[in-house]
Amino acid sequence: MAIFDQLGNLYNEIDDIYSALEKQARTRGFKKRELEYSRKRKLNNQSYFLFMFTRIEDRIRILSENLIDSKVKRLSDWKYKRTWDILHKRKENIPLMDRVALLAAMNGTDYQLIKGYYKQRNIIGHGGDFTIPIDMQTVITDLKRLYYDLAK
Amino acid sequence: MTITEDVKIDKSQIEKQVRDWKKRIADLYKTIKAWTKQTEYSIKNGTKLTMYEELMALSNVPPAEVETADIYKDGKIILSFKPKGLWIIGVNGAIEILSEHGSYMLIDRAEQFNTPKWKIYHRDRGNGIDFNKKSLFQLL
Repeated sequence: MAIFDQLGNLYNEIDDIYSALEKQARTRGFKKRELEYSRKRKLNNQSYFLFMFTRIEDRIRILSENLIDSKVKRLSDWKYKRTWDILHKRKENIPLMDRVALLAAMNGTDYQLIKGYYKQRNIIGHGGDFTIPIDMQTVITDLKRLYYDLAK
Repeated sequence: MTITEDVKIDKSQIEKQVRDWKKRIADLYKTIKAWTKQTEYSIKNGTKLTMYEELMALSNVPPAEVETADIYKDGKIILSFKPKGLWIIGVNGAIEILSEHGSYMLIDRAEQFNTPKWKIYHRDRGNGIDFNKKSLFQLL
């Protein structure tokens, strides 16, 4: 997925600069500066995490609405169609994790992974800090994979 | 158990995991010390970092201190090891390695309480490479 590669490259460029500066400050024994660069990297992580998660949110919205539309269109037996009709009527107001449940098994790892990241997204989005350590390279890999796997 | 699962949190289990994490870090630095013995490099512990992750807070486990370490050559720091976190989604703990050329991540791929399987990752998180004397000296 090109957008994740582009964002990942941008993220890496910035993180490389600040991690080198953090290391330089540590080498020189400048503890305050080391902390300052560490804090800047954390803010950069938060920004890119949010930015990338919005891309996957958009993907989830599109895929879930496509699924609902196709079910409404294709099913003719009311016994099967009725649930999809209800979802279709309120498809613009379905919460994100309910949309994910239409695309991935709720007890599966993908659902749990998105749930974990969504919780962090909500905390960061409201001015908080990550409540778990986040490894951005893992986030990028996960989101790239989910972008495709959710469509299967 | 991963951070994404809704499970009951057992305080003693969390404390055990924190102790195990600190031991794995200390053991890693000891291993690096052995690898760098009688070379131009040396490793020393640096400023400790405070560890206070979500599961610790949720289970009333107090903050803990974890060791950082630096590899020196001619009195200058070449690499710095800074523990990133224990409960990172999908891994059994990670330590960041800072270098002049950006950062690497040392990730334990072993199951909980098993012998660590440290792997180094740079950009692409693919399979990483095993962390051993050879890969350490490649970084140096």
